[in-house]
Amino acid sequence: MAGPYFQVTAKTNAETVWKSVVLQAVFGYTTSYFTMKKNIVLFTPSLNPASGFITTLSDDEDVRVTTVATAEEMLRLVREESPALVVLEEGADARKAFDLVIDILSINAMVNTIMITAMDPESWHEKSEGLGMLEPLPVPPSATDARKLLATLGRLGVFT
Amino acid sequence: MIIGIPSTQPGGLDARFGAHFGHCDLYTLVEAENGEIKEVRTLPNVPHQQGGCLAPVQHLADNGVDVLLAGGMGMRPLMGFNQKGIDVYFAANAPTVGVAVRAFLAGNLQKFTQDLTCGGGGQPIAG
Repeated sequence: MAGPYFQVTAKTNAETVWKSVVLQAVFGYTTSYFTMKKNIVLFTPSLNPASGFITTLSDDEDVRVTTVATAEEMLRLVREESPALVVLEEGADARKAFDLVIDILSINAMVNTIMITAMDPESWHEKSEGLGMLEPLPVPPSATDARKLLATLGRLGVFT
Repeated sequence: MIIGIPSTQPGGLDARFGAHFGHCDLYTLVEAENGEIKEVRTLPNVPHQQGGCLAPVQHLADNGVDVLLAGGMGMRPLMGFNQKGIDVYFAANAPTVGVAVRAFLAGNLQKFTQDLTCGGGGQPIAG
């Protein structure tokens, strides 16, 4: 792409601009990779990719959604990419979902986790205690739930 | 070595020990050298919400804390501290910050392990 070019968004920060300037100077272009999108990993086999929940997340300009089919793939991404959030569907894997959360935290405790579950609040609180998870999502989660989730991530400082 | 201790107001060696590291009033930071206390200061806590329990971990790491003395903690922040290279020691029964620090410097505190965390199957600790 020729000519001066900056991809400016409402949440552009100093680091993004700095990297854009370097890229512009060295290569003459910028790429979407350096817009600092936060990776959200979905391990949600029963969710339709066209569902309102997933499309609402995908449509957010600050988010890159990666869908995985196996727990191994999810844990590889946690290890290699340090995603901002892993959305985990209860029953997605033969292992217990909370054991998978512990596996995630063992690799990188900075990664936020949230579970899609029909578990009653008392049981969920008991089983999730100490794991520092976000409030669970209902089955199935909606576009409204996705918007609430993005707002929560914003309050946690994920996008800053 | 900088030791962080969850404290009640106003902090310092005579302050009461904060029961939960993430929800304490503030932290007392004790700089120790060769087993002796060299300097005592306080550090405000940072607010955090459900799922944001790594905020205090990052806060303490950013302020150079090497060791944390704690009474209650979940598994996630404990793993976070360990991954940041901060050792955590169990000091739930200490009445004051000073008692906890002196017990640590005397080698009388045990390392905080996962079985002591909230929901970890150990003794009930404020989460």
